[in-house]
Amino acid sequence: MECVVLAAGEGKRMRPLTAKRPKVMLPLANRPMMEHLVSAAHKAGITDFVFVVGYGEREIRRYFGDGSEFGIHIRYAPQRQQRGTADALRSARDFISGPFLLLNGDMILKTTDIADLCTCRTPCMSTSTTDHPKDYGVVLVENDIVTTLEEKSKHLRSNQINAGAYLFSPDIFDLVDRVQTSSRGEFELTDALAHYISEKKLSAHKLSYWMDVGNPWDMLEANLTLMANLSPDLKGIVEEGVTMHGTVIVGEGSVVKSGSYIEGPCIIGKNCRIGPHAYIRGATSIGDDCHIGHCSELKNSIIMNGTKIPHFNYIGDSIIGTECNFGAGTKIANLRHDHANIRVCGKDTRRKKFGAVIGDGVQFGINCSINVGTIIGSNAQFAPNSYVSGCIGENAVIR
Amino acid sequence: MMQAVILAAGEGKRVRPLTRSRPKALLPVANRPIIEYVIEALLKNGIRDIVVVVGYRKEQVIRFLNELDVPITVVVQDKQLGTAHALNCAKSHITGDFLLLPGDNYIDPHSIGRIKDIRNAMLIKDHPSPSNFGVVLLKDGLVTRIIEKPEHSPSFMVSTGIFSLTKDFFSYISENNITDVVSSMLAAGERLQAVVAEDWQDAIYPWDLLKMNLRLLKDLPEARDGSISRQTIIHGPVKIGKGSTIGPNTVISGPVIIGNDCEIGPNCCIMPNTSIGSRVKVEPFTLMGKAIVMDDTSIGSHSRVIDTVIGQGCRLADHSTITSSASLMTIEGTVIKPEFGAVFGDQVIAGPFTIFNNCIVGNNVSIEGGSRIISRILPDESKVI
Repeated sequence: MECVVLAAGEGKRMRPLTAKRPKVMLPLANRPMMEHLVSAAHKAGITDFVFVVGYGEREIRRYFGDGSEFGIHIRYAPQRQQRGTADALRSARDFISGPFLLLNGDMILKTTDIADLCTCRTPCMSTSTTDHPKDYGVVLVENDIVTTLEEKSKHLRSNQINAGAYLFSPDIFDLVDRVQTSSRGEFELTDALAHYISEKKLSAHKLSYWMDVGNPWDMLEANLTLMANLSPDLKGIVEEGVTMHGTVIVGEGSVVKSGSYIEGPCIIGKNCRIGPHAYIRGATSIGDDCHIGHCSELKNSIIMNGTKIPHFNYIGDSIIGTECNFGAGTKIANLRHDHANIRVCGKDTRRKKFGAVIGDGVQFGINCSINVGTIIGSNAQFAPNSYVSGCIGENAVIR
Repeated sequence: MMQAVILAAGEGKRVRPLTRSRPKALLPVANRPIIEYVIEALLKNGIRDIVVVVGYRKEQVIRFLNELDVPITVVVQDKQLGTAHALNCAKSHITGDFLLLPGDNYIDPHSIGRIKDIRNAMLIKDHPSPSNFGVVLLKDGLVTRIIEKPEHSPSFMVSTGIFSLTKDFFSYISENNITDVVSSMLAAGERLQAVVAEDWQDAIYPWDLLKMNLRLLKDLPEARDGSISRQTIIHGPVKIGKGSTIGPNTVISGPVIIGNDCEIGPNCCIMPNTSIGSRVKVEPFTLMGKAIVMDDTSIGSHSRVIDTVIGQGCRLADHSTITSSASLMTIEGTVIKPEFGAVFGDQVIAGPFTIFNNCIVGNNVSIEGGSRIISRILPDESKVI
């Protein structure tokens, strides 16, 4: 069976992290978000993939190639303009020969769910439940048939939602061709489904597990979930006097120096320098070529490739892009005094603990204080002892 | 699919001198042209088939519309004969039900949601000076009468100029003014439902822009771009654009929006409800607050700019002092007594130590240093020596 993965969007809500890469290439447990999905599908027995690519196409092609490294076969369907999901599916038409899976590239699924979905009757939509259904398409299901699908409805009649994973036969393409632009000005796949729903032909398949990554802070939870499946693996050099608890993975060429204390789950990429005396706490992913130095404490964070957190830093519940440099003593706050939910640029993260979202190439002088819920655009620069809060744009300078 | 017609052909004579180089719909409030808020409100309601009628300074409006992400149909009204005439120019583009909106008034998206599914309907709102508008009389939620700019208004409820109509409306157009067309529609026995708008703002006179600015800055998202000194003190929602430099010891108390490539400070004080355009220069020790300053203007050191609208490319030298008061003035034949500091057109040049109080300074006016401009209207191109 063929599997179409929609991976053409930038993921604007993920800015500034998407400055150099599309959303689906953001790392979770040190692998692109989409790789987790593709490998779950592969384990479910799917080997033929069609990736619909657009924004950041080069990054996706460079990483996945023709798929041979991953034991799969990948073809690419470029979508030149991001004009909605129906339009994205249209661009994959020439690659499809029979019933096929359609997956949004920005979610995490379990292998068993994908395998079950493959055995459903076409057309089929996967559903899941959520505690914030207003952000999704809410579905009503009777006898495993979808009876209603309402996008971003105000009057929520269910907490069951469209999960964005489908099993279709090629006749979906005829419906997709008839889709008109929606009020958002896009060609929406859900409009094509209306026809199936009115004929009571769209079956529903409930997923046992589903997670979508809509906002940067959702990455932390997804990261934690994906790290739970890992087993310890120490490839680099771990010096004497290093304490490790739980699942710890250290990549090739990395050195963990004396006195470091690592509480798993923790994953460290290739060619990193950790310690001496670094303290790394649970659910932290560190990319390749990073430096976590003396007396730096990291907790529940995602650190991308080439970032340096070299001395006396604290980073908690944060997402840091590539090639950032933290001056000695620069710290990120991650808890409000009133213990209220942390808001980022006016949006509620629904988290009591959240630090900052920091883009690529950001440079901090020594002793900067970064407040909770700060967003910092790529290549911003901060003078020593700066207080940083709010939404800082790309290339901004605090001098 | 619902369509919308935005009328942006008129000059807005009562907002002179600001409308000499741009129509009222393009005046920046919180650094965005008023018409952009109208278009945004339509898009938020899923209305994407938008026709804009342009006329006065149409090249500017067209240039602005071309920069938007959504395709807009442009219709030209060659002579500004009235609002109904303008709507009639768009007739060939209208296929069914449509919304009619003025391009030079702010309307919130929620209010449009209230009328877009009703035919025929009009958004109304109470206003403290109804005589400037079409006053509506109501019965059981229906409009019974509409009176254009009455000298003695029988009600405080006015038409916002925003309607939800069917194509039949065109058959009533025999006059040039929408109010007259609505009157003949009512006379023919058609129902017109009145729906109260949530937030609607119109700037009749230039200083009314300051009130609109205050309202539109309320929703300002905080953002820091540019190069900001660590010794700058920033409170509240403040948006600073790309490439702008803020010097040390400057205090900015939000809501304040600053455009791109500005140079501000050191040691300036920018108080709430101030919108500063792009490439504006504010020299040290200057106090600003409750003001709109358009692009490319520079303000000298030790100045006081409060309760003021300044057009593009003005150069106010050091120690320019603007103070507020209220005095009688005649605008387009109407005598009023508004309270404000000053309104400057474009390219005004004023020398050092000039005092401005409750005055309107026309375009291209030049003022010698040390002058006192108190309770006066200086016509375009005048020289004060």
